[in-house]
Parts: sequence; C-alpha cells; structure tokens
Amino acid sequence: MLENKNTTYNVENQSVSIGSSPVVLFDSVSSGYSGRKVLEDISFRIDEPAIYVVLGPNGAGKTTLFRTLAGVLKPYSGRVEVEGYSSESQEGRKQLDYLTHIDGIPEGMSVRGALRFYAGIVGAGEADVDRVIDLLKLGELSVKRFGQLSQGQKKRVSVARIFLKEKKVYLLDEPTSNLDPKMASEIRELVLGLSKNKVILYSSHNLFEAREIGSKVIVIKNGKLALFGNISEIKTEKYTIGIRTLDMEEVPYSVGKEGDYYLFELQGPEEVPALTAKLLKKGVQIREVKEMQNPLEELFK
Amino acid sequence: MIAFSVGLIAYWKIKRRFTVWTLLLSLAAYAGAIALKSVVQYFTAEPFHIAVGGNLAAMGIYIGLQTAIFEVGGAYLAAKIAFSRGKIRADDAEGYGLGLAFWENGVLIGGSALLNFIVIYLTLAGGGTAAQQLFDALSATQPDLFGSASVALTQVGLAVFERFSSLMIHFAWGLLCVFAVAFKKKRFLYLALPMGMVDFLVLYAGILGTLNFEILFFAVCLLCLFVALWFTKAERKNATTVSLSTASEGDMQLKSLVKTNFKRALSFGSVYLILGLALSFLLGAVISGTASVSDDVPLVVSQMFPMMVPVCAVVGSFGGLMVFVSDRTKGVYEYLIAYGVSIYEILWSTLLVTLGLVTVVLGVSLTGNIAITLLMGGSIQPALIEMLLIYTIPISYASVAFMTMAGMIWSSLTARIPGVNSPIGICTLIGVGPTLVVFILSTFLSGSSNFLLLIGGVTLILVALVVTMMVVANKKMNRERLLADA
Repeated sequence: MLENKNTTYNVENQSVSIGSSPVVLFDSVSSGYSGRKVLEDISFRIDEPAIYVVLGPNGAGKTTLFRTLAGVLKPYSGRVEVEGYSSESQEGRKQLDYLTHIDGIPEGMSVRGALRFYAGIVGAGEADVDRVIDLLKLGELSVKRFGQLSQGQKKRVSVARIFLKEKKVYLLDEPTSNLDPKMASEIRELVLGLSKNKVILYSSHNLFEAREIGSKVIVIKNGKLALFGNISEIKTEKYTIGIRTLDMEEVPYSVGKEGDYYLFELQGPEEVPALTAKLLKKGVQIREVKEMQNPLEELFK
Repeated sequence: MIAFSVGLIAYWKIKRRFTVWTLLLSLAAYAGAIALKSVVQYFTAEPFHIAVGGNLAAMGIYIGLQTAIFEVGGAYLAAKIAFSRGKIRADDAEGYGLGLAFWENGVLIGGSALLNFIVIYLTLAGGGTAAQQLFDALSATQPDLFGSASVALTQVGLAVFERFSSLMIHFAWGLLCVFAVAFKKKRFLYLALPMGMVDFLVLYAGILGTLNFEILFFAVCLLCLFVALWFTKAERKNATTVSLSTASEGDMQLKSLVKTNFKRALSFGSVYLILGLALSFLLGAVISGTASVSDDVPLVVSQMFPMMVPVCAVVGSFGGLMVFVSDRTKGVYEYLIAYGVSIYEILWSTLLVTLGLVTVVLGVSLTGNIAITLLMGGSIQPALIEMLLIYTIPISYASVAFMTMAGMIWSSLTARIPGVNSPIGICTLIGVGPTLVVFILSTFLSGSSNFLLLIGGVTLILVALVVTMMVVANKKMNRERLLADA
C-alpha cells in the first residue's frame, strides 16, 4: 500500500495467468532507449473492453509503455502481445492504432492530403477519409495546410487519423494535452464514442480527467507498475478548487484565499456543481472555477 | 527487341501482375551476375584458356558453369531474399523471368546496340575525317552493315531469333527460381541450374555456322521453356491463391510513401531543384559560349558539361533528404513504424524519391541543353553522348544515392540540437565528393579505357557503400533512432 497525504491506493503487480489470449498482454517487460531502462518488469493483462487510463507524472514511462505496446520500441526483455500476436508482428500491428503525443503530420501537407497519406499506409480508402473529415468536422479545414491550423485544430486532425480504420485496441497518448477545456471535452466525447467493444489505453497526468473518462486505471511510477485496477481505488482525501468572484469581500464556505481565488476543500470534482449552486444561492457572482492542485502531482512527489 | 521486351512486360502487367519490385529485383540479379562473370573472366579467362590449350569443350563448360552459377544461382538467391521480405510473391514468377529477359535483351544487348548505332549514325552523318575513318573501320570489321537489304535483313532476322531464344530461357529459369522459393521445392532449382549451361553452345557458333547455331540454340531454349512450364503446371494454377493468402501490405505502403513523398520532395526542395537545373543550363550556356569563340576547344572544357552535371543532380535532388529529416523531426516515422513500415522501407522509399528527383534533373537538363544547342544551330558530338551515357548518368545516380543514404544515417544517429540548423545541409558536399574525385583523378589518366575503369570503379564503390549502409541500417539501427525525440 502506497500512502500519500492526499491519496492512497493499492499497489500490486498483476500476475499474468495462463489462459485464453488476452487482448493486451505485458509479461515481465523491460523497455527503454539506447540500453537505458525506462520501464522495468511490467506485467499486466487486459481481457475486457474498456477505457484504461494510464496515469503517471511526466517521465514516469507512459509514452515508453505505449511505444512498446505499439511495436515502435523493441522490449529488452519480456513479452508484449496484442490479441495473441507479438506486438512487433504485422498481425499484432494490425490490431491496434496509436495516437502519439506529437502530431506526426507530414510537413507541408493539407489536412485531406495528410489523411490520404495515412489512409494509404493503413489500407483505408477515399471514402474513409471523407468519413473521418465529417466525423471530426474538418470539412472547412480539409484544404488548409496543417501548419496553418491552431493547436486544437491540429489535434483534431491528428485524432482523425485513428478513425480511418477500425481496430481492436487504441493507444491514445495524452490526446487532450495543450487543448482548451471545450476542445478537450470534445475529444473525450469522441473517445467515449469509440470505446464500445474496444480496449482503449488513454494516458494522462490528470486524475480528474481520468475519472471523467475511464473506470480502469494503470498507474506507472518510476517505470514500474504501481497500480492496475479500478479507478475508484484511488482515493483522494482532499480536492481543492479556487473560485474567482466579482467584487466580493467575503465568500461563504471558503477555507482561505490564494491570490484572487477563494479556496474550497471538497472530496472530489463531483461536489463542484453542488458547491457552485449553493454559492449562487447566496448571491455570489462566480467568474471562474479552477482546480488549485492535481492530487497526482502530490502523490508522485 | 527493346520494344518486344518492354511490350511483353506491359502485356504481363495488364494481364496478370508485374511490379516495380520484380523489375528491380531482376535487375539486381542480372546485373550482379554479369558483374561477377566479368570479374571472374577478367582474372581467369586467359589462364584457363592457356591451361586447357584452347579446348572448345572445356571453354564451353567454363562459360556455361558461370552462367549456371551466377545467372541462375544468382536469380534464385535474389528471389529467396526478396520472397523472405515479402517483396515478391509466387505469382511474380513469370514477371521475374520476363524481367531477367528484359535486362539482357532490352537493355544490355538491345540498348547497347541501339546506342552503338546512334553513335555510328551521328558520326557518319556529321561527315568529315571522323566519319571517313569510322566508315573504313566498319567496312573492314562489319561489312554486313553496308551490304544489300537482303543480307542486312537476314542478319537482323537471325539476331532477333537469337534474342527470342534468350528470352525463352531467361523466362524459364526465372519462373523456376521463384517457384523453388515460393513453394519450397528445391527440384525447381535443380531443373533451372543446368539451363545455364546453354552458354556452352556459344563457342561453337563459328564451327556450326550462324544459321545452324541459331536453330540449335532456339531448340535448346524451347526445350527449357517446355520443361519449366510442364513441371510447374500445378504450381502455376495455385500461384495466385498462394500469393493472395501471403500478400503483405508492404507493397501498398511503399507505393503510397514513394508517391506522396515524391510530390512533397518536389515542393519541399523546389529551391534546390530550380538551383540544380539553373546551374546545369548556366553550365551549358558557358560551355557553348566557350565552344563558339574557339574551334579548338580544350578537352577539359568540352568534357566540362558532362563532368559537372552530376553536381547539378546532387543539388537538385536534395528535396528527398529534406523530406526525410522533416518527417523524422515531426514524428511521422513513429506512426509509420507503428503501422508496420520497416526502417528498410523508410530508407528505401526516400532513396527512390531522391532517385526520381535525379531523373527529373537529368531529364530536363540534358534534353534541355541538347535541344537548345541544336536549336541554335550547334551539333552534338558522339563523344558527348557517350560521355553522358557512361559517366554523367551513372555517377549522378550513384552520387545522389550515396549522399542520401549517408545523410539519412547521419540524421538518424545524431540528436537534434534545438536552435541549431541540421547538419544535413552540408550533405551536398558528400554528394559532390565523388564527382570531384573523378574530375581530379581523370586529369592524371591517359586513355579512354583508364577513364572508363575509373568511372566504373567509383560507381561500383558508391553502389557498394549504399548497399552496405542500407543492410547495416536495416539490421543494426534501432527503431528509436527514427523517433522525433529519441
């Protein structure tokens, strides 16, 4: 059991049992770059379709985990399989799609051109390109060059690529990073829409995003598996939010002030709507609500 | 013969299947065999001839064995390597045979004969002392060239007959080699190997007489074709099914990569492309100007244009390497690797794109410069055409391939330093290097045969280096080297 002043959760390396082929299997896997191990002796198996949120601070090994599963990195030891095939085999690769934390769109190409390029690589057709352009609402952008797009639009194009061909497993490496809340929410909606009968590994370093999107969690800490289980196993003792108001001298229920923000301690984000409703009832004019800390940052210190 | 070889390939492509890979593979197998035969014969032909006292049968076996080992054995080896990498399938067998036949009949023999006749025609049409000397030489050595139409047509007919025989036998052993690999049946190889001994007959052409020799040669080749078709009857029926079940997405991925990246390289490297072309036209203009003010043009100036065009090709084709570096930096290769594209395919596609750019530069600059010269009333000397064909074109392709491979490996093995321009910018120096080496060394050489050896040597070294780098990169380079932030 790991303990932290804000969060506690169970830690157990999942034992890999012998049975029918799991959708994803990591068996005593060590992996990294230029001989330097980033992941060490990771073991887990995924049998059920669901969204599995891969949590960990920056540098914990989330991207290395994804790259190893996607067959981009060759593990130093251990076994990685997708649907019973080695992740490095062509059959294994056919089972999954991968969204990296960088856009990976060839420079100088239009949105449609880039999608056509990847369609050619994965064996999709022009109809698939049209479909994902509609799905991601990229119609107006399709003739624009990728470099001319905003960060959010770029991410949408990047995400569109994974919808070109249906796969069984999707690896999404921080798909909402650098996005504004509205765009992040739209991307999460798309991922949720994708999740039926699929295994989705979704990396994040935000526990609250994780709770919003998934029910299962894989926690990586210092290259090792810290937790594989239900997200509810991660208990936060305290969730602090800050509320900025319009010309208020004193705000009820507040436990303190940090800059322009009045601080409130809650059990979790699910209590935010009730709090704001109570404050509005008391005549508080709310300008902004924001998380004052990420419990994961505290946890991984 | 060229038209017939090309026509057969086109027909097979429409009717069944003929891929670029098949064409390249047959080139590799055929060119490798011819190169090895040349090397072996260079060192052993004379001593062997002396050792056997000029015995025709022994010499026939000597020649036949080389064909069996290098041409047939080489065709099998190339097919085996390509098949294991999923580059060819069982239903590429006929195409492979046609490819081998094409490189011998359409290119090595047909192409060189065509080139020879063009040079002869241009020289004779130009008149003057050179034309008279050539006419005298040809009248003495090849009187049939100036014989009556009936004599000439007979010669042409027999030559076509011989090439048709060659086509049949190349087709036969190409088919057998691929089936031996695809169906894991060594007996097909054992059937194909003796077919190489057909070259045993070549030495008896003088004794038998041309007509008898051609008939005998045709009969043997026809028999080989019959044997190949008869013994592969069942496999030919299953070839398509077997191929479809084992087909990989590799071909499609490579095609898509090359097609897209070629367009991008044209756009990305447009400045370099324009620069390379402009340089070649400037060079053409300066040399034409020099030639027009003096009839006695020094050799170094008259040869300057074909000598310097490879530099233009190196500059003009830089876009391919730029696309590679950009894609690596932008994380495109991480996706491609995840989708199953191998390091080899990434490097090879970039190389193909760059060689495509060389073709554009050479095509535009050579035809443009020649056209301008002719339009301005100038004449094209056969020596220039010869120089372009034996030096400019091979060295251009080899230098650019070398620059591109070296640049890709360099880029992959070095970490990008933020704020510092990519060191790839100085790769053009690597590409220009071979041209400078040839240029400098040629000033110390006398005689055209030494010059040919120099060009051949430099080209071979470059090709060997490119192949070595490709093999080593594919086997030893970690995939993480192609990731954006690795």
